[in-house]
Amino acid sequence: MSEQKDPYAALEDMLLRTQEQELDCDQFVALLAPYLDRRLEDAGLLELIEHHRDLCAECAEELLLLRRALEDRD
Amino acid sequence: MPRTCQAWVDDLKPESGAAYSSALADLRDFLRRTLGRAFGTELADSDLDDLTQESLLRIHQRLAGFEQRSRFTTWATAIAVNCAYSELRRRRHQHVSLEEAVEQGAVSLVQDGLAQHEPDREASLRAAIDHALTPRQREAIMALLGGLPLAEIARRSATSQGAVYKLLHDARQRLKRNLETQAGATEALPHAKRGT
Repeated sequence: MSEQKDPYAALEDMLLRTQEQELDCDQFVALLAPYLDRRLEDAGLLELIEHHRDLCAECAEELLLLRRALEDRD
Repeated sequence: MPRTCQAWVDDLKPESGAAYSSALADLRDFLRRTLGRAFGTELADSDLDDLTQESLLRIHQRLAGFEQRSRFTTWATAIAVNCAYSELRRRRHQHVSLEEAVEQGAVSLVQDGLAQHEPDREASLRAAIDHALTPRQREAIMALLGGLPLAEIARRSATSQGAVYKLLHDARQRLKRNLETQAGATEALPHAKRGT
């Protein structure tokens, strides 16, 4: 599990990336499975998912872990 | 032959008899392998057993809500990874209280790079945190700066990670607007002086 290195810089970065509409973590996690299976076609929703991934270190790590878990599944 | 998504759902109903036992054993084996692959040495064998069992329980509880928006195994693995990741995060931060994290966040504001290299920006941000945020927003921002993950802030606040994210999203929007207003006022100052 990753550690946050410079919280102050992280906050500055988060402020720069802040936008009016964002997915929260619960919404992001609920969309992980269809996202990884490429079942989502709504470009706006995909942008929101990727924005959340870039903004939330915890959810980005969860996505990474899920990708790793499913490697060589078939 | 691999099961279809619908076959997983049907077989995992206890009334399915032998198919239930077989599906449960297959899913347990699948989840244990996927968790092992995802977390490697972070999980001991006993952890893997416990977290696989906990994941199976959660999957059963949510089975009726599986909408086939993904493959069943992707959906089930997402639940298992979330379960294991939450547990590892809880263990890592279990000895840190919300108050300690808030205090650490306040310390980080004066110790970290920006405060040393961009004192004006640091002062603006500190002023925005002090004056533009509600007490709950300030507490959540400080706890985050103090290194406490959102999920652990949520656990200590008896709310969901999504609710904490929304609280912080509102806080970021307020901070951003406040900093833009401060920057606008600073830029406007020389013009105002020239006008006098």
